[in-house]
Amino acid sequence: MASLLELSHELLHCIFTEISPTDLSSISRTCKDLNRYVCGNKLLHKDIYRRRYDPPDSELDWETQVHNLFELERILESEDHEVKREALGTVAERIDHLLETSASDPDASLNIRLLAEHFADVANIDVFLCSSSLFSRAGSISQIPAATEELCQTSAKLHCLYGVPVDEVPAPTPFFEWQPHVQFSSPSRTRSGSKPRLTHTYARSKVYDLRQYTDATLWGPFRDDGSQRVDWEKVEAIMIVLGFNLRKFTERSGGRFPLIWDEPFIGATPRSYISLPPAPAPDKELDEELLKIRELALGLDAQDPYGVTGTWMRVVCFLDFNDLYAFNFTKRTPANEPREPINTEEAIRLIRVKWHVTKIEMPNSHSENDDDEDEDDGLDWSNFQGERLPIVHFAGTSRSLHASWDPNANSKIRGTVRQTPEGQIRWTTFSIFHGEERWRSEGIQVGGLRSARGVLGNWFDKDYDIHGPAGPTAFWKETDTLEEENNTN
Amino acid sequence: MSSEGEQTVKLVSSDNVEIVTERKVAERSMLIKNMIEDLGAPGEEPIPIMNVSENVLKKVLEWCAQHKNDPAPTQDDDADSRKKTTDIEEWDQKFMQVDQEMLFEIILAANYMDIKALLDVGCKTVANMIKGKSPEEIRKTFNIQNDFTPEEEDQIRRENEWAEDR
Amino acid sequence: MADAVAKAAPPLPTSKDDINGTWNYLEWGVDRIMVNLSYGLDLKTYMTLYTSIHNFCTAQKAVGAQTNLNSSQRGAHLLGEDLYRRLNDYLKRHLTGVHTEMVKHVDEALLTFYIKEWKRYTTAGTYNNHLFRYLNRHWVKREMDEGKKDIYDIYTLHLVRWKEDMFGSTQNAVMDAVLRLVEKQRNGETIEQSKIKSVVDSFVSLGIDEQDSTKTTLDVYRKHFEEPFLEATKVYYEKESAEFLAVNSVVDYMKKAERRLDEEKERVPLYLLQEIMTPLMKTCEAALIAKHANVLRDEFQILLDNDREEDMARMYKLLARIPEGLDPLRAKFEAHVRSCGLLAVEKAAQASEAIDPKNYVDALLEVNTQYSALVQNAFGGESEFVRSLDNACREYVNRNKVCQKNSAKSPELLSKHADNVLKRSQKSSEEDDMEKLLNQVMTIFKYIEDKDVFQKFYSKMLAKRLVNGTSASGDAETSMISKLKDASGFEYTNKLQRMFQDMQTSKDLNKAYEEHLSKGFSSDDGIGTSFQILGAGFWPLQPPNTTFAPPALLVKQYERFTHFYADKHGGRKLTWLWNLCKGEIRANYIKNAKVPYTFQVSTYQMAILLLFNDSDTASYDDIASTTMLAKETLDPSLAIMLKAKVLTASPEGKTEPGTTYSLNYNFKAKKLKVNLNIAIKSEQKQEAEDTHKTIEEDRKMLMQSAIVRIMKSRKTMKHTQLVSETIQQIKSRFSPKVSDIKKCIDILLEKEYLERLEGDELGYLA
Repeated sequence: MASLLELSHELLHCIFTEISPTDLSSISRTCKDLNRYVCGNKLLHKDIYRRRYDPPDSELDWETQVHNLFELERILESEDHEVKREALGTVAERIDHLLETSASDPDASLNIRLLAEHFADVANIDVFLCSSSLFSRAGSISQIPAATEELCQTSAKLHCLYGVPVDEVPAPTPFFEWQPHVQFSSPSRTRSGSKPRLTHTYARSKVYDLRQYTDATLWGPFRDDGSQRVDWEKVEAIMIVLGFNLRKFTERSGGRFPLIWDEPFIGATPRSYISLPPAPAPDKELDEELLKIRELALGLDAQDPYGVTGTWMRVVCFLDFNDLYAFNFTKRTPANEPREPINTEEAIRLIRVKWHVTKIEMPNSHSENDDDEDEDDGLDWSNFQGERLPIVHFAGTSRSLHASWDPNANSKIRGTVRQTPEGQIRWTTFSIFHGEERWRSEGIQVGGLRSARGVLGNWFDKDYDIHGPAGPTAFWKETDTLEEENNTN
Repeated sequence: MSSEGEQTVKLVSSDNVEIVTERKVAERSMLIKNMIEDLGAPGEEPIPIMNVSENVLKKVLEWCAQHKNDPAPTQDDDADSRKKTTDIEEWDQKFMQVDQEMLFEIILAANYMDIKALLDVGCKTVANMIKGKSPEEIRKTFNIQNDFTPEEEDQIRRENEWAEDR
Repeated sequence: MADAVAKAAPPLPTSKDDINGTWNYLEWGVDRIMVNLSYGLDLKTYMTLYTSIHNFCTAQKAVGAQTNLNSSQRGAHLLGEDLYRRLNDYLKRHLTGVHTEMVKHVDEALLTFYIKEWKRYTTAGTYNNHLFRYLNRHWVKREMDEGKKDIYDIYTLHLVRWKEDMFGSTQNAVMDAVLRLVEKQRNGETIEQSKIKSVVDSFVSLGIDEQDSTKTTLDVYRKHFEEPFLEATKVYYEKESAEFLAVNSVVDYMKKAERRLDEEKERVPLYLLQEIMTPLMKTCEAALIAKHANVLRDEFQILLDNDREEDMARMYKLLARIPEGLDPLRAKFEAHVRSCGLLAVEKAAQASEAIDPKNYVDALLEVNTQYSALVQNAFGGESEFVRSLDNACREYVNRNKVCQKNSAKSPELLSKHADNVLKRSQKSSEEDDMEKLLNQVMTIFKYIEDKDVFQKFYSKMLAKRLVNGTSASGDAETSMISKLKDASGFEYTNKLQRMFQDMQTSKDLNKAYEEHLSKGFSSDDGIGTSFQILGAGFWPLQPPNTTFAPPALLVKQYERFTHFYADKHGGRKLTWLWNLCKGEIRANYIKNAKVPYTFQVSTYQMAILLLFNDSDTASYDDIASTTMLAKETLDPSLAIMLKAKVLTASPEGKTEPGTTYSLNYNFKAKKLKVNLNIAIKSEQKQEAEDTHKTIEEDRKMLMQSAIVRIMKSRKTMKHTQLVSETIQQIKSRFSPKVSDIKKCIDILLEKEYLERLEGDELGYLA
């Protein structure tokens, strides 16, 4: 007599890998035999995990992970804001796990698709992405800061990983109405109801507040305690300001410059930068010196874990210096109070940067440290996990897309990339005009090692001038090659 | 192998009924396909399908006939279970509208005769019978006795809180 | 044992989960398949075997059994494991038996036995793999998923057992037999190649990937087949080649080596794996070529000296196969071509004191032509050999006996040769293809280092050809200019092209002038004129170095033209180059001439002759004072007319004050046209010297402008760096001397274009 309980082990396995974790839970609650079959069944949970989520490289505690991730889904599905709000820490942790283990091709990634679907829900955006201290002033009534500073940081980080700045977008100018695809975020992601306060004005007030630029923060997006821990609230503000400007730039370009930062979570995962196949080699002969440099660089590239060599797109924004000065130095604001929002909009520059690896230094080998004062000394590495990566030095050239005929728009550039004690990827660059270093930048690669999203951070005077100027910057990789593309469209 | 399209084979069920079918249909079963590969075409010699009774075998062959032009199964076809969808095509859904006993018999026969795609359809059909049901509903569907004490039941419910609605 | 009569089948297992009963039956079946498959296996037995395995594995239900909690998921699996272990043990036992038999055989018999047993065993493996498929699908798959390294699917298990229980202790003997066969074949005997192929296949099958047993690697094959095979190949050919070379010539050896390499290449598709091609070729090349590379190379000079093209081609092909094999050949080749070139120039130079441009260029060309043909034919036009050829040619073209005193001699002679080619000329160029001759000029031009010298002389001579209308063909001229442009760029030929433009413009102008004249009002005075307007900046022409009072007849003509021109292009200043003007005069006075002679004369000579319209005699002083010509010009002009007997002098032959000249009414000549406008030797020499001098000046300018250009963009720079960059910038025109550049820097410092900064730095002053 054939029945469910009469089936052999293999056949039950075949059936149960087809059902959802909820159903599995129900099965395990029917009778002792099935309970024994399900609980502790490593292989069953492994197969269920691998059908539902991207398979990670290493073995996990499959049963616990299935429970955790399914619980995450349940929280994201919940309609109760309070349930969500209480789970912010847990949710962030589990989203981290999903992103870290996601498949590198975003289109084939189950994890990314799952997260994108859940974050199409405004409630999830409000609770999980809009709970940094920025939203004490910005945002709608359902967007309020989390209870603790650490949770504010957690939310800001989630917002950065999500990657589409949550901001009230003014309607596009009529001239561009025929181009629906330049719309910044889908209507479902913006809040209806009472008119919310613009996010970018508050973010701008944070980004251009020169009090944020201190030695302890390395003048970059780090916490003000010298620990080199990332200050995700700063990164969030940088993302919002740059996102606002990039969207406007895209609109003005009439679609020639593609809209970026518009797909949730894409590129915010380690190794998500996928290089295009190399373009066919150009016919023109390169002179021997260049070939030699190329050869040397290829040797170094192979040892470079960060994927430095190639062509990157960089965006820099800056406030008119008079405005910046007035904003910072005309009114006294108590040290722990934010400055007032800035409605003035800043200028934007897009720059194509080509650089290649020049030197690879093992961590802790403090050999001839020719440039920067060594900030790595005295850092607490006790919580660092995994293998320490080397410090990679690079150099190259940058060319402005706005005024390529203007020699001042073009400069040389050099820099380093290294890990912080948190395991974050930190980029430092120096822009060199006519042989002299002028600007420096400090940034963090969102999504970790070799992420497609790239780096968000601050630029400032390389001599740390407390009167500025300073502002936000971002760069992300375009190709692995250094050649001029033929279609610079 | 020569024009096997027109060839027929003779199968014998466990209750000794001979069924003649197209070789191509029979070869949906990896068991039969491998056997012919090893021993050559059997001609008039009947192939004993020892574990499957006539009514089940006929049903299985009906499925095989319907799917005889599907891509041939390879030796190890289950490389990437992630590609499987939970959907069942319409013909198969109708085909599987049988009583529970026959459903499990088909699953057992597919397992024995090594017809992976049919086994999948069978398992998915059973899985669909489980989906969205409470433990009690599942018990009813599959005629399972609840052998938990109330205390045990309470404990297990608490262990399964992760799966609950929020 | 294969002969044993098949054992009767044991009873079928009584219950599904009876392991002993099940195995008892299975072992009988597996043994039949392994040992007696030749007797066939009936359908019923096959199905029964499959079914009993299936039933055994599915006997235990997943739930409801009284298993303890720990192994609740593994009930069925434990049963699977049992079957797997028992099959494994059976295979071990079976192979022990085969092994005992195998060691009784040697050589080809061993090979035959190995192959027979291997085939039988793997066929059985395929059967068993199908019969135990339920085990493969579930228990084996699970174990492998869980990362168990020593569990394989049933077929692979067969291979693993063979590898461990058979292969290890027999492969040496098998390989020895294989290698003996191959050696036989190399010695020319016929062998059964299929045997080796079977062994290769077997070794390849045994390469099971340690990481993922569903995949194969070539590790086993590499270690146990490829390595010994290559080693044997090496030993064989090292011995053979040493012996052959001891008694045969190098040329014969090269033929043999070539043949051997082809043979080995052909061997691969016959019974080896394609993967062995690269290492096999490397091994052969090392033994056959690299080991004897020095002997081969020593032969190269002999082959070169004797023009043995075919043998050199063979040597090239052989040495090209080994790393750095050709470098020494190239060095020898380069040195050889260079000395041939120097020798050819020396020979040509011996022939006459002042070397004829054509002989010189021919000597340069001959060697180049001969050896570029060799590069094409024997060395496959390989770019490195082309480079060696170019290096050698550059050396002998720029530094040979003729250039010893003056390094600019080569470009000067080449441009003179080009001039001769392009001039409407005496002989040759009609029969020879003009284009070919021009290409030859370009061949040598490519090697010339002082390209600026060539440019100077070429433009001088081009100017003459144009002004004097002595070009053989306009097409040839433009063709040559476009060749130079291709080789050295637009700037190099810019002025030359402008000269052509001026010629065209002048033609148009003359037409317009004629029209202007034909409109009347000016009376025809029987004098035809034609004018050339040459842009001062583009033409390398010198103004006259003598005073001159043109005869009244001409003054009228040129004033009329000057008016016309000023109307058209007001503001342009015309300078008359009397020294380049010429004309024709008809001599109506000569007796005995049916048709009057025509004299082709320079303007100076014309001025002199026109004096005799008024009287039959004229004194030297009269002539000098009327024409206002300087003595240096007047004397030779007179001398030519005296020599041609147009005039007679008294006292005879003198050109000095006090002499009187008379018109010779009895003048006689063979032709009706008499050319009296002959260039003056001393003038020519002077001109060459001047040209060299202007080259020096131009070079200084070029270096200075390069320095300024560099400093303007760099602002500050180290002295040495500036020198080397200057060299970079102008080396396409000529190779500057460091000392000259330093001088130029000093001049610029003096002129305060540059300033000295700290250390070795220089700064740019705007």
